[in-house]
Amino acid sequence: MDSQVLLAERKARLAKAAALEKTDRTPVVLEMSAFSARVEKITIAKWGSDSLIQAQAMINTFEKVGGADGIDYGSLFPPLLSLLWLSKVKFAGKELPEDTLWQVAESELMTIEDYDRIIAEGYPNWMQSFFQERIGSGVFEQIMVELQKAPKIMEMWTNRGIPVLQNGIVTIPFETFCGARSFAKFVRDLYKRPDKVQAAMDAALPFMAPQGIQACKGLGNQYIWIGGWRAAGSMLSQSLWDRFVFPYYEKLIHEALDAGLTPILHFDSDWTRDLERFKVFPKGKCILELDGLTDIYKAKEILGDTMCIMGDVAASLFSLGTPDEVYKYCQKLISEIGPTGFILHSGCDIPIDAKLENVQAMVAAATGK
Amino acid sequence: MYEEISKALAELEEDLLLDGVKNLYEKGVPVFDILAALQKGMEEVGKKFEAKDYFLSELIMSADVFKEATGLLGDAFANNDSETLGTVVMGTVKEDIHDIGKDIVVTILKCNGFNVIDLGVDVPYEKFVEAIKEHNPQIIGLSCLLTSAFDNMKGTIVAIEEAGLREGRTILIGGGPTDEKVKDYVRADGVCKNAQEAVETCKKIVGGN
Repeated sequence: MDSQVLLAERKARLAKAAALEKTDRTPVVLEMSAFSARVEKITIAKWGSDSLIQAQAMINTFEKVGGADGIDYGSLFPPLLSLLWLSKVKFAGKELPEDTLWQVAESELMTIEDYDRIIAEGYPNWMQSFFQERIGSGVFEQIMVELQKAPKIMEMWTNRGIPVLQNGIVTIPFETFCGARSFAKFVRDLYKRPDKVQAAMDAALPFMAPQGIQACKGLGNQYIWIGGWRAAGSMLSQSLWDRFVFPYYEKLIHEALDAGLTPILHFDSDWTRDLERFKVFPKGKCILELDGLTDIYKAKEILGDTMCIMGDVAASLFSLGTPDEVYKYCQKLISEIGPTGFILHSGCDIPIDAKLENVQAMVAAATGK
Repeated sequence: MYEEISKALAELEEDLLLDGVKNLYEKGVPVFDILAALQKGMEEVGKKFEAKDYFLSELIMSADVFKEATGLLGDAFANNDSETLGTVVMGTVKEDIHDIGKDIVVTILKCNGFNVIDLGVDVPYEKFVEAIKEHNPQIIGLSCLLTSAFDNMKGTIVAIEEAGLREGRTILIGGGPTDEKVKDYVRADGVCKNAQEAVETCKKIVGGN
């Protein structure tokens, strides 16, 4: 089939699933990064060095898997993770052996005084100097240079008829501050100086989404990631969550919707307690992407009429399971969470050491091939 | 007064707790008794966690407040030779540097009366073996966040077995991607989903020994 016809067909299938409309079959989307390095037999150091190398490895792997409907992101330059959590990242070939997965080295880079600086200097100014002073000089510039390759990467994928869902990952100030302060210290801040933390969050919030929205719109994506990791209900008491988490997601989600994008709520960890709260968003306009820790059945029961559910094949199943086990799990998801309003997907990223045949089994469960 | 400090800790009433502990200590109450009251408070925190009244944030805060309270006991706490519930050797396995979850579990176990030997992150097999020989723990805790560390988790357990150190001990695993499937793969004895489950599991293990 002509690649542009295939692209349109896949996009339409995904759009219908997101809108809670009936589809010809359940769509299936791949989210992968280092897994493609393993499939393509490239060292992680080489893979991580250039977004174009990543994109090509990912496209080749996508085609080896065969039959999926899209990819969450077209490349993943590992230093980008520093932007998300304001943490240092250790890389293969630098701090880590040549063929080892990158790792976020979370530590207390941000101090209590930084809340005042954020409020006084404004978030963008503070963030720039924070990067230079505490993440490392040149890292921010390196990321910006790499991001210039995004149009070329989009072209590589679309030429092969594969939709790239998003080019922007945004999150709430909670996540960013939590990464920069380190989890335990940040939790203490929420208890001991809540007003100060909230003032800094309020100062940062207007700057969390615009760049991501602009990137997605500029590159022709229909979706945007709004991520959540440490802000999950299992991590926080209800009162902290109500104050420091939900209002900020509410704002970001509406910003994305107003821009005409479909937010993919990429929520790792266990969000079961607070699923009910997400019923306030318009029907068929958001996607909830789960990693296996949130009860996906509960999510369907509570939010199935509000948003499309996406997920949630566990990393351990991809790494340690058999194709038959993966296939059966996916079929169960398709019949019980789908077939309408459901996109089959891994729980977060397909892990580096996933077996190719297990990823193929996930896709086969959706395509019937 | 003991009940008051247990309750203050359970309710995370920091000022009330610190005043109470200071008061008892100045009156010459044995450190062992004060610690017992604090640990009772931690047990209440655990119950609230299980009842879903408390979450990870409250476990962290309770450990923080516990530390402050024991800090008031100064050298008397450090030199307290009262018996612990048991010894746990814990670390993040080789080639994995993630420490947040592991650190939380270490802290919460300590506050609940366990002697925890924290080996840190990226821990080589031999270091686990040496620590087990030195500290003779009933429980060994292995943590990882990366699926690529499953094999090193397995390798650590093999090294412990080959050193003849597995018998009579329980090996528990934990961390983001770990589940029953991983437990079976690495041949551990149990998997803990969160810090409180680790405390309850460890208590059952030492209680059963």
